[in-house]
Amino acid sequence: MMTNPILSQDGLYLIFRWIHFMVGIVWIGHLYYFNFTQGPFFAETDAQSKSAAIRKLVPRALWWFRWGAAFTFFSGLIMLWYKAKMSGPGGHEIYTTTSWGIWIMIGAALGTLMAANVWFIIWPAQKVVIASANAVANGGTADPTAAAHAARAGVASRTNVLFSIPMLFFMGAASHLPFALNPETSLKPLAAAITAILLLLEINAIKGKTGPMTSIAGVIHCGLALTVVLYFAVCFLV
Amino acid sequence: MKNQSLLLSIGMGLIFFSACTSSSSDDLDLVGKTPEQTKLIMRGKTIYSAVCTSCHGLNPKVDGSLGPAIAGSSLELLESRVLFAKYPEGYKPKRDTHAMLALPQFKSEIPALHAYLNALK
Ligand code: HEC
Repeated sequence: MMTNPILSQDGLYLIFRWIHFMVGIVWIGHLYYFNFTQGPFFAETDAQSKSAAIRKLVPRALWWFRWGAAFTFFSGLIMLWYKAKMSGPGGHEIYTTTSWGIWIMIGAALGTLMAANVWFIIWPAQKVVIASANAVANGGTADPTAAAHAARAGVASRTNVLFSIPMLFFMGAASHLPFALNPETSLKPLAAAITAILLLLEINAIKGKTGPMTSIAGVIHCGLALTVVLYFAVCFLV
Repeated sequence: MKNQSLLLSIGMGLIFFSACTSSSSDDLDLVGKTPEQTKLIMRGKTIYSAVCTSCHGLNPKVDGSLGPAIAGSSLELLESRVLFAKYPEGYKPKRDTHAMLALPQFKSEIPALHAYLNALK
């Protein structure tokens, strides 16, 4: 009898990949729901429906959203570890000396920032917004900072839509867009450029405004543009 | 709470199981190899993991999801198949398909791939 393929290294790697994709869909599905569907609905609905949605619907959506983010992050970490383990002692060299490594590291950097935005900006801010809506519904007064918190969560959320577009491109490229890389090549210029670009965008998520990402078409175009910029950064800098 | 612990145990079990699966150099015959040869073999393993696994699978000794087993491939076969999508004169391909495109950009990695694919136990 053949050894069951699910018990091979490929099988195990597939299980992690399966989990990573499934919880990733849960996460990003909710991200797009918030940005593409719920946002425009909130903008035009009446105050009462909006309050009901914030109290009863948003907390449920946020539960799947943030746990999706956490599980996607950790299953991704496990895949990175397992891939390196499978490629031998010193297997971590696969991160810095192959096209797989470069693509996946850029994807992972974007995904990590996104997960951090969920847990450290969006979720804490949304808790304030939900508590305020609950207080008002129970006859209390609104939290005066609720609107500012909602706006901050909104910028971080738009930034995550922006990041999600190149993130998927680079994660897919890892296994499907191979290029040759001399193992002696210094990756410092590329790392510096990518860090600078992502740092600026992340600072904007923490302190800035949505700018050209305000409309849905705007954020999608920005995401496509960011993909092109990051892609050419790799082409020119390695 | 019960569901969470169950999920967590399954997760930990999976991770533990993967940590135990053979890996790294266990499958390589490095006896009597010079440090340079070992380095070339490891480079080959890295390139194989990064570029070839998506079709040939993590283990080159067994058929992958798309490509056949390629452990023990000769330098001649690797050069013609990987760089030019051709086979050496008189070689009978393991598959009649043409699903694998040429990867000429990996010219400089052929010696490493050859060293790795021929160092498997
Ligand atoms: C896109 C999937 C894919 C990738 C990536 C891929 N291969 Fe293949 N390979 C195949 C398939 C499928 C075949 C069978 C012939 C065909 O359909 O082209 C094959 C055949 C071969 C053969 C000939 C086997 C024989 O004896 O007939 C060799 C050697 C080979 N591949 C080496 C490699 C190496 C080395 C890499 C990584 C640098 C690689 N392949 C990457 C799919 C792939």
